[in-house]
Amino acid sequence: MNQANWSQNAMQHLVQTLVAPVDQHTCDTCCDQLAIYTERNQSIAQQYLPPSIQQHLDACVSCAEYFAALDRSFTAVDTNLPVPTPDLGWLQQAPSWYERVSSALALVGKNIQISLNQSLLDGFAALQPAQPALRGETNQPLQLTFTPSIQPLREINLAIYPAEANVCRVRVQVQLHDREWPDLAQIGVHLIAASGRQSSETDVWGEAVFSDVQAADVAGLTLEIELPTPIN
Amino acid sequence: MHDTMTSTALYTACFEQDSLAQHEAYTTLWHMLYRVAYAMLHAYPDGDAITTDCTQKALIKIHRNLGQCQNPATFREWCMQIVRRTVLDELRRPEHRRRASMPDAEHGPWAAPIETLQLDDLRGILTEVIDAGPLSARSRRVVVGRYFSEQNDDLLAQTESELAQKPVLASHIQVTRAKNLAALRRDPALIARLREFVEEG
Repeated sequence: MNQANWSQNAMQHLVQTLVAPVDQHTCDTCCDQLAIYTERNQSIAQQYLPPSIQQHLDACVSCAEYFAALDRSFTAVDTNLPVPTPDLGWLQQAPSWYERVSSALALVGKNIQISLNQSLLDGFAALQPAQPALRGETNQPLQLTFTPSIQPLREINLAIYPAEANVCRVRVQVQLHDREWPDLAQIGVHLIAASGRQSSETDVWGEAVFSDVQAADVAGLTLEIELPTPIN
Repeated sequence: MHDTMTSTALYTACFEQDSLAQHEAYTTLWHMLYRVAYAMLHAYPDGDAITTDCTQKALIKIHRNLGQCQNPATFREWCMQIVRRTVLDELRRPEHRRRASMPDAEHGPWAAPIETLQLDDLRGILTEVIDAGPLSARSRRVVVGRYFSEQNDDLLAQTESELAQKPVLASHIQVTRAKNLAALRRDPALIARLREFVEEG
């Protein structure tokens, strides 16, 4: 170790690391950045991390351990490791209503998808409020409401009107947190069914109507909405 | 158990409600995910128990969100992402952070001698601290290597692997350095003195 060769910059760098504050905010920032590599399914070497993260990893044992754990997940795993027997009892448990609704929602790129199935439709049908029978009116739609916690969405309402001659009408209404009538127009809405894909755009009320959906397609319908960019 | 099943076959089997194929598919996933979680967690206190918990949580998440896997051909990779994320979420819990901030057996309480703190030049203080502080020989190499020899952790890991005659991961070098610098940081008088140098620029 030849201390005479230590540059002023290098010494300052080490001192900066030693005196750098380690708080919840810097740890959260570091862990958030490292977790991005989880999404990419790839390992990352320390020298390719941003300098601020490198410095924090030197200053914080917890984050250094977090980084090491992530790194170890990409190393070859021991195939001789004794693995305990799994408890798969939960496979027999019916999912809750919340789980069924949550699993119907997915974010695909910038679009939100709602995938309908018969179990979900039956669940929503059981939740429909009793409707007063006015003048023998019997064609009340099946109303489905989704409130995904994805900005800027506030609510997605779906109304499926009873079939006439095997064709249904589907009305989609998109409500946003950051705008209302008349600024809800031109949001792309797509219905993807076994028999094909239909596309439309919302009107100023955030509504898009598809008037010729095959009744047989409804239980396997996927609704895709192009999420508008939130207004800051 | 079909550990050679393709991602698509595994994905399809997971959907087969109440079938033997579904049970086998989840058992296959369990073995695959357990090994990844174990690699991440075995060094932690109660590592075996946390590994089992995280694997179970990941498996249930996978089951509940199967429909969100956009490409069945990459189902195994998707499951890996979920188990990694589950373990990382576990490691962000305050109890793990508290334990990491505590001194370990190799780094007991240490304080820089008063004569060191009274030195006028930074080089003198850092030399004393690195030579006589609570740093093992490996720790000195990884601190000096990174800061004064501009060696990255891949290179340092290679050197340490040769010295130890067993593989040392670059990320382990990172943990070693962080633990040793943390041991220095626990001396408030030293940190106060170093802060004076930062303020002086």
